[in-house]
Amino acid sequence: MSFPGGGGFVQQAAGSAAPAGPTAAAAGGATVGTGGSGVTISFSQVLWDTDGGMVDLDAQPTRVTCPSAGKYLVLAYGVWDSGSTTGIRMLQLNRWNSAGVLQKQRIARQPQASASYAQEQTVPAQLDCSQGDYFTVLAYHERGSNLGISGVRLEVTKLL
Amino acid sequence: MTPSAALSSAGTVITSGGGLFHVITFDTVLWDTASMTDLATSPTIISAPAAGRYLVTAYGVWAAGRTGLRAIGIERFRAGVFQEGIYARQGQAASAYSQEQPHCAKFQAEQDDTFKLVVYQESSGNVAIGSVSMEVTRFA
Repeated sequence: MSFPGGGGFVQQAAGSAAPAGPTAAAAGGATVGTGGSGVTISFSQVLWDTDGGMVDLDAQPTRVTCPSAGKYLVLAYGVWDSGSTTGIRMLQLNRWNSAGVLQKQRIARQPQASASYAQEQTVPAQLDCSQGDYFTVLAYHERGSNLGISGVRLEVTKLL
Repeated sequence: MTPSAALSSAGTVITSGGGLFHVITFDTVLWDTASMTDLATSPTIISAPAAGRYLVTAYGVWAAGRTGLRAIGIERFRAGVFQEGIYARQGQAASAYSQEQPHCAKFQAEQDDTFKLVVYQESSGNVAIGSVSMEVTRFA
């Protein structure tokens, strides 16, 4: 396979801008049993929540909620423990409406690259959301026994 | 309003190998705040309405059933000429499962630059890719 323009990756555009709207992020981890339906991550830490109310660890520790309708940049990230290359690893970003009906999925699925290393997974998305929609992160694997996932982050920023 | 647009495609079948990426033809406008898309005349591109820096995300789901390499890329063009591309390449995780490829990149673009979503696979057979989307938002 050839990559146009010399086959190399190019440097990202420099600079960034302050988010246009409310932004929040939560972090956590879990021990996930093999197979089944996976585990929805229950977050234990609010990394930021600029407008307050997008994250409520006491009442809804698995969610980051959209405070208004718009287009959102959403990033999910997690680090699977090392020690085995058996089976797949999967991180799934879910968007639900305010009634709790699943609207959209974005998935990263791959085998463990090496038993010696942790396996990182990232899921980015830009999504059109309604007020009250919320996001969760599901972790799933088929190692054959329990496996930990740590450093899980769910970052949600309103772009417009 | 911030320029932002998103296109999706129900999917297409991609032949194996050959060394060249396949350009996705989209069939649905998910949103478009700044006349960045025109499915009737240019169903493969999202255009930058002004110079700036753009966040581009993309997604596709390869069908299960085969092993081998899968790749997805976002490419930027100026007056139809390729400028740069950001790619992600991985093996099919398991033949029993679909293979999802989320992707993300930032680009510096001039007015009327265009973005295309390209895909590639090496499975020794045809593989369908579905639930394809590309979203472009100017962020600076």
